[in-house]
Amino acid sequence: MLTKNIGDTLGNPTDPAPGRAAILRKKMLGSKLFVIGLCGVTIIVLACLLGLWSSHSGPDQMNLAARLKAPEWFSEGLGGYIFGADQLGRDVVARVLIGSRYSISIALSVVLCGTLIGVTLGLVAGYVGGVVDAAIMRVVDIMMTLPTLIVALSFVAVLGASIQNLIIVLSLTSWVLTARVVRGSTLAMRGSDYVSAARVMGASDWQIVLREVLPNVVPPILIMATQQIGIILLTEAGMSFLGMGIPSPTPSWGGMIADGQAYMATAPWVVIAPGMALMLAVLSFNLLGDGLRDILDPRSAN
Amino acid sequence: MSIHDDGMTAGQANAAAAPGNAGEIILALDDLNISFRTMGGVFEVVKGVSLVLKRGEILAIVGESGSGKSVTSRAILGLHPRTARISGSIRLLGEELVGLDEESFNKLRGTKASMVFQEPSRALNPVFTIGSQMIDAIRAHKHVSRDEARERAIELLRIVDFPEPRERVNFYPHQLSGGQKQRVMIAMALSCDPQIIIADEPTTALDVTVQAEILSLLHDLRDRFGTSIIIITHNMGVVADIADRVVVMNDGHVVETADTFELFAAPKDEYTRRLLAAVPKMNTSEGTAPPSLSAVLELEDVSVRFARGFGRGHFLAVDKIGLTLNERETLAVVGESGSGKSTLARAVAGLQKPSEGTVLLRGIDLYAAGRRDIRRVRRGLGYIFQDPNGSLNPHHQVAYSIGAPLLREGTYEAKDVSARIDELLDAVRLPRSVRAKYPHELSGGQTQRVSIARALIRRPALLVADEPTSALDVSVQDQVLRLLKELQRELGFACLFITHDLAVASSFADRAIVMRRGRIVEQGPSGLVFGAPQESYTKELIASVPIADPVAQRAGRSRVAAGM
Repeated sequence: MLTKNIGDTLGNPTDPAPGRAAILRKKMLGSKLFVIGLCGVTIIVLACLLGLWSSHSGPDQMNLAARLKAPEWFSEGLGGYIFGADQLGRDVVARVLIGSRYSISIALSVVLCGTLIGVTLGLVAGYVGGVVDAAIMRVVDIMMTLPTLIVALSFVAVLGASIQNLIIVLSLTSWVLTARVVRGSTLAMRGSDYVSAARVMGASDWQIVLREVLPNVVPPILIMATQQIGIILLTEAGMSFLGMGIPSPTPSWGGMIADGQAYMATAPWVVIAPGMALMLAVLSFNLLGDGLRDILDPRSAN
Repeated sequence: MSIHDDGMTAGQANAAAAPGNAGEIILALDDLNISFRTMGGVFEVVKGVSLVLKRGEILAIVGESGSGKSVTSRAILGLHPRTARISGSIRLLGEELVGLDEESFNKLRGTKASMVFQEPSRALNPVFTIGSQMIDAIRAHKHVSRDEARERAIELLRIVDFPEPRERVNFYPHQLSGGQKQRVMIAMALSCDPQIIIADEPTTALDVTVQAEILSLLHDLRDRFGTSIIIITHNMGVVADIADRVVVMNDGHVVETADTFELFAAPKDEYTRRLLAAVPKMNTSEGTAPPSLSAVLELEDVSVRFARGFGRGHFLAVDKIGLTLNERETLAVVGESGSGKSTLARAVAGLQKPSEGTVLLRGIDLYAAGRRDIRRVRRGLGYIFQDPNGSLNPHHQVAYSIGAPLLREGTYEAKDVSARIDELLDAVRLPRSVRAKYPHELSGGQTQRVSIARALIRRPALLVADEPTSALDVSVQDQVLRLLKELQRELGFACLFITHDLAVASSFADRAIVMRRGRIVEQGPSGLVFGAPQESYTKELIASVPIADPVAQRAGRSRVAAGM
């Protein structure tokens, strides 16, 4: 907020140099990874929103006559079983699309919470140093020794499988890497001349952390967060596959793969559809992360 | 002792021993053009450069950053970046080098020509001993056993006057001083009897006394082995000290080529004249001390102690320093690296709590005052850092960087701050259009002006400048120093000026302090300290500074050679 203010009041309006937005746009279009990733993510988001479009039948609507029906592609028009039906005669496309809503929103909430926790702890550890740093970093070390999936599974086994529980447990395990990276950059920046300069010029600790340190850790945080979305998607799918994720009958990609595996030989589409969706989603978010890495460095050529 | 003994082949021995015909041209660049193709278009960095190097000659290539001097010299060894496009001709001992492939360059590097780099600590691999790095270099070109190569390495270290070569050949780079590392680099460059050594700013990263030693070593090598040397430098004093001939480059062109004595006596080109005029001169006149006014800064027995590591005790970076600095006065603190001068500056600025002693800024103890007092005291303090790029946050626009100290106080309207920023940009002679720029869009000189503007925005009573010009080109340094002086006259702040450059200190400061190992060695009016030094360390320091006048400089060198 403060930056914006200053940019507006202090920036010279007659300055002929291209604006930040224009430069950013140019960089974005210049990065193939970013463009591809962004397209992928856009398609996925649209798919989430349009989830109910396929629909002669809802995702939970069974039709025993259509059990394991082979994909009809578009031979029956949009009303047919475009990607076939599963063992209970439910439309695979409808389930994949509705499943994306749950998977994506869980991944986004987890990454948001995890990043907030990680950034806060990382900044505190890196800036305050000393005992506080040691304490936080030992917790990080302990967390690193625990296998995420197993911790998450036991947590859910005790508290029961629900979407809220899933978000809580995944958030509590996903902040660790962020905290480490943020702490590292904060530590490096604490010794930099511009932080010293701010201190000599009377900046308080709060001002230094928020105005000098934080803006510089935003790019790596954004990059990591984007890539973590992919990891969380996979973890969530894994848990659902093991029956510890989103409870049935709510569709989820992992759950669909689990249900379909018994019929893999005769009706592979039941597994292929959610598998492909998962792969494309993870790939898109990872590409977006790589693209952001290219774009967000203010020193990169513009 | 000679460079080619202990059983090297006859051919190699000949190449190094025979001085050949003195005056024979061994390297000739003709109409050399180098350009880079980037996304922003084609940039020509070297434009039609022609020059020759004779056998046994020391040729200096001088220029400021961006003049193309480094790219030119690197092209001789094929060390230019891959994106570079080269046209024209480089003939080394009759062989055309433009268009040569990597493999042929590899054969030529080290054997016909080799290179010494600016930063010896970066050019040496930290995980190998210097001996093993030298052995690798020798065995890359010669079919000798490891033992023979080791003997040769020791021999080479002896040639470059490296102390205790037989014992220290097993040292790792971090166990050596900067000057010793540079000697190792030179020994490595010599390992396969090259006829040309290209030294790219070989002494820029070193202290003056060490610089003097390395320069005499290079001089000596030329005399003993007839090696031709190309020395790339921005320092006119270095040129005056050892070069036979000088090539002055500016913006990719050769603007002047002349004999060293001629060049300094009668520079023909306008740019050369400007460059020479910008070189800071040692000022030994007494000057008029400003009338004694009230003290801005008082240090009483300030010591800063750093822990050496677990259980290894402490060392004193600053050892019981006491000084006072009055209004409108400039005090220079000079010393070599490790003298504690930067630590002292940080202690004065409130960034490094002294282990003992007090720092009084306008009568208030900087480290004992309460939180609120500290903020108030610091308002009277400005600080300029050495590295112009590091001292500005890359994520903030110039306007924010300059204005932030005022905005933080919260008592000023954005409009007033904005007006004050314009005022300061005018004062440091920057166009107002830089307000919306980011640090990476500015040149080094511009960035340093932004730093000055930021330091002055709260009208400080004391400005601490830690090597403010040592990362800048000579002409830019000259401008920045003039600017500081003018601003001081106008605004009346006291200035604590930390520098390793004695000439700058002598011309800029009213009083000077010479520091060594955390202690004050000598202090007084700068004219006296630099004009009539009392302590032997100060004398040695002053004698080491190369003067940008070949006649005086060489007289000094022969005096040193004869007398000491």
